[in-house]
Amino acid sequence: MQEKSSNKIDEKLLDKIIAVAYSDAGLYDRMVVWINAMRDPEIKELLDEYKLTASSVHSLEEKKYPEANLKSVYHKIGQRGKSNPAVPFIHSFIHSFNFSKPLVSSAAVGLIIVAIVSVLLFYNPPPEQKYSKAEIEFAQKQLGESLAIVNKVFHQTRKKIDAEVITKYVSKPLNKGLNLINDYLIGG
Amino acid sequence: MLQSSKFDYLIEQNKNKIFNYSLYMLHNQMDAEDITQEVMIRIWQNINKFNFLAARAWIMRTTHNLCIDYLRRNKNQYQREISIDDNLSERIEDKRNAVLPDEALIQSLLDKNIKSAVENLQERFKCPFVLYELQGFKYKEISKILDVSLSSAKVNILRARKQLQKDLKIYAREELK
Repeated sequence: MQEKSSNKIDEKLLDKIIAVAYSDAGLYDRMVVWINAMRDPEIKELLDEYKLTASSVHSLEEKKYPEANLKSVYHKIGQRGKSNPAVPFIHSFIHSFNFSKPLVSSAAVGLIIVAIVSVLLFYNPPPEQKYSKAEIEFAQKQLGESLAIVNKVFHQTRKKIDAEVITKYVSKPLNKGLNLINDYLIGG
Repeated sequence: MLQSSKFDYLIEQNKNKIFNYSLYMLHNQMDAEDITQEVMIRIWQNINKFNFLAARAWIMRTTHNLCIDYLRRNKNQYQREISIDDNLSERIEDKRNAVLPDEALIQSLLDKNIKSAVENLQERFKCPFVLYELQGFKYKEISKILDVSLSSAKVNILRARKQLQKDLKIYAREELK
């Protein structure tokens, strides 16, 4: 199938098909292969075959190196064994930053240092406000006056409620109602 | 302290890669284990000498060179026919007892075919192919590891893919017979 197709399909297109199947192609090549695959079922079939192989290759399991051999390596180099940090996850995270991405970790450390220095240099705490004794007394006096005004307003309001609202709208209708009930009861 | 931390980190990251690469190159578990051990010792000896940013490439280059040396040394006597997957029969037996025995068996056989096909690729195709497809190295790193040009690394990977496809078809035909 493939040999037959290879004769028909030109070499450049075949290379593109393979690259697409192995997820190794650019957007343009993908488009070209996709359009060709839509038009020609043979190209589609070829692409699917390569895709199947690629996915099988990529899913091959990695064999693990035996731990027992590792111990003998540590023995040979004169180390007691792998260092066992207290918090292995954090340890490995820090190391992966330090060793695999030293530029990143250096940049991070640089940023932290710059931040600390800028805080120390440019941070001005708000000045503490100081008032004179006379100002404080004046403020207290004003506060007392304003509270007195509020008190007066509340007092007047209460008087008005007692004198007008309760008498007119509560006591009188209530008396009237009670009298009516009395009359009704006596009359009944 | 830092030295051993660096070593631990490098070993943890690369031990399986070294081992698997050697396995594909030498087709034999014992030899691959020996090469892996040798590479680890060399990492320890050179821990302060190589550039840490390029450690991965340095390690794989050392692995590749050791495998090549080993193959050259044992060229005449190296006619063993031990498969790369020594435990295949055990794994098939295990998978026969699994829930979907047929699928497991087919998958095992497919894996075996692919491994054999990769194993049987020509060396100049196999090395870049294994590094790129199975170990996730980039073209640039592969060109450094194998000491070839970038374009030749790319071409050899492409040829390996084509050859693999052909070989798998042959395996499939043989199995149908």
